[in-house]
Amino acid sequence: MSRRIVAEFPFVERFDEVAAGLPGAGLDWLDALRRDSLDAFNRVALPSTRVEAWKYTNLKDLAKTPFDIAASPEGDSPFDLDGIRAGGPGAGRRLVFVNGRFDAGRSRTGPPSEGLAVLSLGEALRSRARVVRPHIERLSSLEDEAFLALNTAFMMDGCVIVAGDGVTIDRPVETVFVNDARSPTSVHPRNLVVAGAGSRIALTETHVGAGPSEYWSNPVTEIVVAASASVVHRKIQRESRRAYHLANTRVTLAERGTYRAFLMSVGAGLSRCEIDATLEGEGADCRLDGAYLARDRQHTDITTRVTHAGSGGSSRQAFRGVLDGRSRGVFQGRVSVRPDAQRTDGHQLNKTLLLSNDAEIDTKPELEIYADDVKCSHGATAGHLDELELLYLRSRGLGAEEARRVLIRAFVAEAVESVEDGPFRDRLDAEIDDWLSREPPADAEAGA
Amino acid sequence: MLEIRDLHVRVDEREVLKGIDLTIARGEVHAVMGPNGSGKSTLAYALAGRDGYEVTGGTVRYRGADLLALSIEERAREGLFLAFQYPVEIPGVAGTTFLRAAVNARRRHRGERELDAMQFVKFVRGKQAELNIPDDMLKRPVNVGFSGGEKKRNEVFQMALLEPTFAVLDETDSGLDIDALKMVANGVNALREPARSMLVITHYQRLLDYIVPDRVHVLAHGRIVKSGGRELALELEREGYGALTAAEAA
Ligand SMILES: Nc1ncnc2c1ncn2[C@@H]1O[C@H](COP(=O)(O)OP(=O)(O)OP(=O)(O)O)[C@@H](O)[C@H]1O
Ligand SMILES: [Mg+2]
Repeated sequence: MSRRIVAEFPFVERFDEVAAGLPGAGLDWLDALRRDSLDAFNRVALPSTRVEAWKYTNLKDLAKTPFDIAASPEGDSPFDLDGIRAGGPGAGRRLVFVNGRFDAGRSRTGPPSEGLAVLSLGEALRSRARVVRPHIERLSSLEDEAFLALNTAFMMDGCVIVAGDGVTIDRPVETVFVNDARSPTSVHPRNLVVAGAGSRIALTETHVGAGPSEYWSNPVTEIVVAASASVVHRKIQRESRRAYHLANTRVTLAERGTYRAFLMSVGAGLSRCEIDATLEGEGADCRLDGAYLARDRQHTDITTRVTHAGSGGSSRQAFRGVLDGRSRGVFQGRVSVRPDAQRTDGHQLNKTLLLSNDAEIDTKPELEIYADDVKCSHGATAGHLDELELLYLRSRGLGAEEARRVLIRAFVAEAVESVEDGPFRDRLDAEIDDWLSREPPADAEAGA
Repeated sequence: MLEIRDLHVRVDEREVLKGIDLTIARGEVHAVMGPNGSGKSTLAYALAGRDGYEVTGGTVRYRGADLLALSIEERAREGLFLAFQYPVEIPGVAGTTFLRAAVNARRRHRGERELDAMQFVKFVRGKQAELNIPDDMLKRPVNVGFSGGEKKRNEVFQMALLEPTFAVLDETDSGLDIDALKMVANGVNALREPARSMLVITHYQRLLDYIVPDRVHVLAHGRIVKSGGRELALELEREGYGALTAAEAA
């Protein structure tokens, strides 16, 4: 078996035609970058399970699906945002993207404000190319990574937040990605967050699926945290069960910058969320938490890479998962400490609750430590519901199903506890309740 | 109230109870004593319906019905209560959430209106004071980080809230200091009434000074080897189980 899976996606073959309709078409630098990225993708191709980092996540079904990109907007999507629980309460800024395109009608970019720009990538490429270009070029030149390259080649609309030094956003910016696919389509949203020195930003990403078809979402989010800035980034992945969701988040932190992420992964037939954070400056602080819930034949992969390059940094990761049916979870967490990153504190924990004997979790922690004054740890557990705990609850009159739900909820609640924002925590609670009460759907799934 | 006939229970391929006969009438309190490993907790778990405690023979009738045909929760809703020898810690589940779910399950079963959070707080207030259960203990996850004595007090507190018809107390006195023992005994005695029966498992005759039993049974090697009035407990305290269990083994 080869290390590469060569796929013949219609949208890749139709690059010239497709690219002409994408944001920023006609900008020389971007046209060239898209083409270079396409070449890079064609060179590296999709990774097979022979590639160590993809050992547990098999892309062969994705490779077989004839994904395309729709030539023009398919007209108004009929869904209603509240109906699909895609937004939080309140009247903060909200950017909605439907099938990779900015939906101005459903968005609220808010009044212009001093030192702060919140806008779609398409708009940013028109009005602020000077600000976004260096970031997009830098990220794209970093490595030959299939999904990053593909995203750059077919980069669609996304959210751009640029906060000047010292700027604080009081309400999180909400971004909503709705996929309403009628035929096998791929979307490649590209987000960029630039937090100036001392600024404070919060954003929420929600990915939902509404349409009847299989689709593939391949979002890339770049986050640049300047000195002493703080970025809080929360994400709910609730794609349809027919979806492939392969997301990449790339974060860099300057000195004393902080990044807090919470990821809830409940949707998609096959998903992989990669978070890559580099603590470049001294005393940077990164915290990645999350929960994954899967059942039936869902496959959910969380892969993190935290690189400590500056000294005195700290990173914490805690992910909890609940797997039912024949679902499979993957947690790969790598913490690298470079030689200069003395006094690093890096901790990682992964706990999984297995609700059936057919569910499976593969956990692979990796510590690569090249400095000597370092405190690093990792831990992983996987287990079933405790028989005595169930007995205790039932012996007090709780029904067998209720007792199970109480214990599952309690298990996940410990992951959600770290979320300080009340309204968002309520949304997470609603997701958990919804998951617990949902009957397994009868429809076929991606990756199944 | 409860009638156990020739009960055989197997745990992990091993027959632990080898024919128990025990009848507890309405309003009576019976004590069960016996050496470690004799099967006392096994009897308690079998009555509660724990998985893996396989009844291989015999019958248990509870208020005229077949207890063994009911699920764990049905037994509880029918008024059976087990105070665990080792109360279980449940991380992530707040005490009040758990207690309210339990109380409401029982109320639903009786056709009574469920209590909302506010009504529940009022409902528990009085019982909290009796058993010295501070608010903080109810906010914490169930039994997590509780001392041994706190866990036992919490069991009796739950019993007071659920007002069972038949209660099994498995070594609820173990690990209690003198004051806590009195508190627990008072809590139990407050629940004594003609319509309620209890089975009190203990190693110490001291508890029986406070909770005076109608009958005392000695369980050894999975059988009841002797039964008597409360003076039997004093006799055991003086002479130990040696003579009884030797006779049984012979
Ligand atoms: N899950 C189990 N697997 C195997 N053996 C068990 C199990 N549970 C109980 N036993 C055995 O059954 C016997 C009776 O145990 P039980 O807990 O009923 O004793 P007990 O009378 O309550 O003792 P103690 O006074 O120490 O509480 C013991 O020999 C014990 O080892
Ligand atoms: Mg015992």
